[in-house]
Amino acid sequence: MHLRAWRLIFAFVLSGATVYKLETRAVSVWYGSYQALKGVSLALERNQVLALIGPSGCGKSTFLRLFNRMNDFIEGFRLEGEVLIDGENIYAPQVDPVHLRRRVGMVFQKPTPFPFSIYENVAYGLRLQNRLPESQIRERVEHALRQAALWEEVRDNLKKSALMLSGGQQQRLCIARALAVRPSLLLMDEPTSALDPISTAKIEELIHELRQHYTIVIVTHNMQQAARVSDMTAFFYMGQLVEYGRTKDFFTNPQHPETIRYITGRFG
Amino acid sequence: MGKWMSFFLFLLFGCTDRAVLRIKGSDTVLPLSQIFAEHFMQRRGEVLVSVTGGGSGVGLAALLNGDTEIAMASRPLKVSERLRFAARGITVIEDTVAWDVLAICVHPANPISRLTWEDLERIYTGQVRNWRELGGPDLPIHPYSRESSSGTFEFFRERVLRGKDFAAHVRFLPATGTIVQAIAQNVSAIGYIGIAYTNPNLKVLAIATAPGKPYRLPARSRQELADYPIARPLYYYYDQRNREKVKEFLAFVHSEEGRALTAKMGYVP
Amino acid sequence: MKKKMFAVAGWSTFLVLIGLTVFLFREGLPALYKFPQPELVFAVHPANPVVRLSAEAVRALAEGKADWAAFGGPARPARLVHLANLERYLPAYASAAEIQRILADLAADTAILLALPAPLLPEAVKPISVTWQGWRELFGSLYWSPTYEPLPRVGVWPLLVGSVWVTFIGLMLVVPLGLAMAIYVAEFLPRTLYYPIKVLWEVLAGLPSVVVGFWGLVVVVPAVKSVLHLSAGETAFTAGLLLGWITLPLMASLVEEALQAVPRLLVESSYGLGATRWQTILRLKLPYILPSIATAALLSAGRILGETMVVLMVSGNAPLLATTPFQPVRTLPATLAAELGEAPIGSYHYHVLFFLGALLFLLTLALNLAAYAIQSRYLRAQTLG
Repeated sequence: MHLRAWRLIFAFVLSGATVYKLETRAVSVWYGSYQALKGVSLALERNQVLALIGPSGCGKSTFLRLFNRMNDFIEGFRLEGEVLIDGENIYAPQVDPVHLRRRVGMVFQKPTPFPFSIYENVAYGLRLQNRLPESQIRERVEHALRQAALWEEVRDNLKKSALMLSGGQQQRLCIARALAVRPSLLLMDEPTSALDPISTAKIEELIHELRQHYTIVIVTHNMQQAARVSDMTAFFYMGQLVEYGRTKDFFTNPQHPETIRYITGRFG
Repeated sequence: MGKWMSFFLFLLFGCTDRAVLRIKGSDTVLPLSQIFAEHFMQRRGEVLVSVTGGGSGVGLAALLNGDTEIAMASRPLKVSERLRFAARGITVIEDTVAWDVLAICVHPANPISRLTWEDLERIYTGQVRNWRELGGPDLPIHPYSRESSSGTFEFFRERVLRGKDFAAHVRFLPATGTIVQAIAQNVSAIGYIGIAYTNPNLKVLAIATAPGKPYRLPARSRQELADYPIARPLYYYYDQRNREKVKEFLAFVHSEEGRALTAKMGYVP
Repeated sequence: MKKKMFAVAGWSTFLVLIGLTVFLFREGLPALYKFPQPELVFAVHPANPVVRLSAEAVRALAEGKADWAAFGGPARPARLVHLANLERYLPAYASAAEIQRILADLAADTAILLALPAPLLPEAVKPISVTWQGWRELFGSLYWSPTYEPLPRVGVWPLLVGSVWVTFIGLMLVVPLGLAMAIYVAEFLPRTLYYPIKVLWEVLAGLPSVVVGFWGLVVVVPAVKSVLHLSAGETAFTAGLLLGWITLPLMASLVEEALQAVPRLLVESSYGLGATRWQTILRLKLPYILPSIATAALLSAGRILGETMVVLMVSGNAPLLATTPFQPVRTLPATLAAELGEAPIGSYHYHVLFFLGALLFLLTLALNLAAYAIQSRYLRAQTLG
């Protein structure tokens, strides 16, 4: 805690400028001999929503998964460059990825409820760390469910299996589960791709709310969604960051020909 | 293996005009008969002896139907079989070719070296459960027996236990070799096996037929059987009308050479 | 055309299986109502007032555990003459007439109990009826001695208890070890060793059980004896140990497959929440595959329950009502294997063995149905929502 604070201040003083929430410096990623990212540099400020767009296989998911080191599990993964959260290089040798992931929540392209009760799903991350008294866990579960706008729907059914919920509810449960461990950064990998339009709207509404407390990175295939929910948009193509800017400008005044082709839908 | 060999011999020579002597029945007697047949054929090339197993009952049924000249049996004729032969007007002659003598064995480290017949019966019916009661060490007795499907089991129950039932704690093993193995590695074990299977890892006990009678080691000759009657006779049965046909072979079996072969196979001639 | 061929193959297999099951029960059920010695007539001296005896009473008289007075007869122990001990009373070459005469002499004894085929029965005796209740003999008796003369003992409890002990011990071994093996192979084994190890499992699973049994007899039995300070090594524990070991590849590969089948996204969700590898295994994967573990355990139990050769060689086969696993036991399949070959077809012993076979069939069926029920309930839960 103190160490991190000091490091933050240190980085701030050194750079003499704003410490970004997220920053990548010339990041390249290989899976074996295949290069998935090519020299990506990007920075994002606190409490902003960053949308990552681009065609399938462009590297946007790989980029998202850099921030909680989820790519570490893939055989042949290799990284060059720096990935910083709050000014700290998270690929530095002294960083324990398990501790890192407790600061970074993640939501996947499909709801991933565990086959336990609703309550136990949300409490899962809390029980992994130092033992909290049950009363405190209950408090934090309720808080997380309220934050994910699910509390009113499940408050009487906390002991019921999470598998009984609808798809949209399950996805909000997964968001609550991620929030319960109090991350500062939330990663969302196409969170609404498996949901119906009403559920999708609820999730997008939720992202708006969460922006007040969290920095959010969201991968999406849906450009309307990117336009609706994000402050910043990054367009990836063939492992390269082609264009990055304020969402407002990005969609109204794109600079690169590939970006234009992609957002006008004339892409292969 | 030998069964097939004789089958092939039969196929090869069966259609010639050689005299054929068929022997069929008990699998216990089978290896002995095969040895007899081999040696007999070496000196009397014009006679073909075919030996087949199948069990005592099978051989006797074949004798009844005239399908074999000699029936091998590891047990005496049953009353029902006697009556059946009588009904067909067949007079059956019984020839005891050898005795399968049972040795009662324990582990060499067991200080007990002799038992009375009564002791044996009490051990196997469960009335005695500790070697101490027989003057041995303070160890439980673990009696071993062949499975109930074996002829040795039947013989032991009928003749040694005099029809009484085995106690429930008697361990039943599927083959003689496994009993030898079990006794060799367990100081509290006792078991019965054919003398042919005894080896230096086992201690063979001397048995007295009754209290006060002398203790005897397993018989090695027919004279000694009177004092060591834990032995099962192995029989040849034949139709009296075939006497001439089998005479020469039986004479060989009881000859000096035949008796030597019997002894070599681990039986008492 | 092809479809027809598959249909024929499928249905014929099914019909053969049905036929086998029908055969099993058709041959087994007579054990409940047949009399074990239908060719024998039980008879006593005419002066003996007894007219009916239970099977237990006949056995008590035969073994000298009771005398006639206990059943209303003369105060003397019975003298039993039956087919198996008749030779004791006959000279070597008795003619039919001689046999009749000797039997008539024996029948003059007022304490005689005869159990002989009708043609052999002397004239001056009184036939009595012997009652045999198959159900009570099978389930009310604690002794197994199916070839005992003149009436067998066919209590199935020692065999059932033996089978239960061996299966229980086997499971105690196979469940934790199978889990450990599966976790190691699925999670920690370097990928290059994965396929060699899997092939090795298959080989282990295919090891002839006679080989395992003999190895057990020569190595494990003495080892169990000396390590546990038992006075003999042939016990239910030994059999369970070996069977657990044999079943290990089955259990481990079922669990390992289930572990591999845990959805990747669920696993990543767990890691994403800050779980370590072990936490993910213990808190997510194992609870997630619990139904598969239960199914694997039930299938392993079925395999252990049905194993024959190994048990025959190392369990001691004593038909004892074992109260601890360190006693010798005789299991259902070992009994079938040891005795079926020698039981004359159609005899009571034969029917009783098929009855045991039917019992074993029902037990295994129950295990498999339970496994199936767990699996299908779990699948339904998985597809919900």
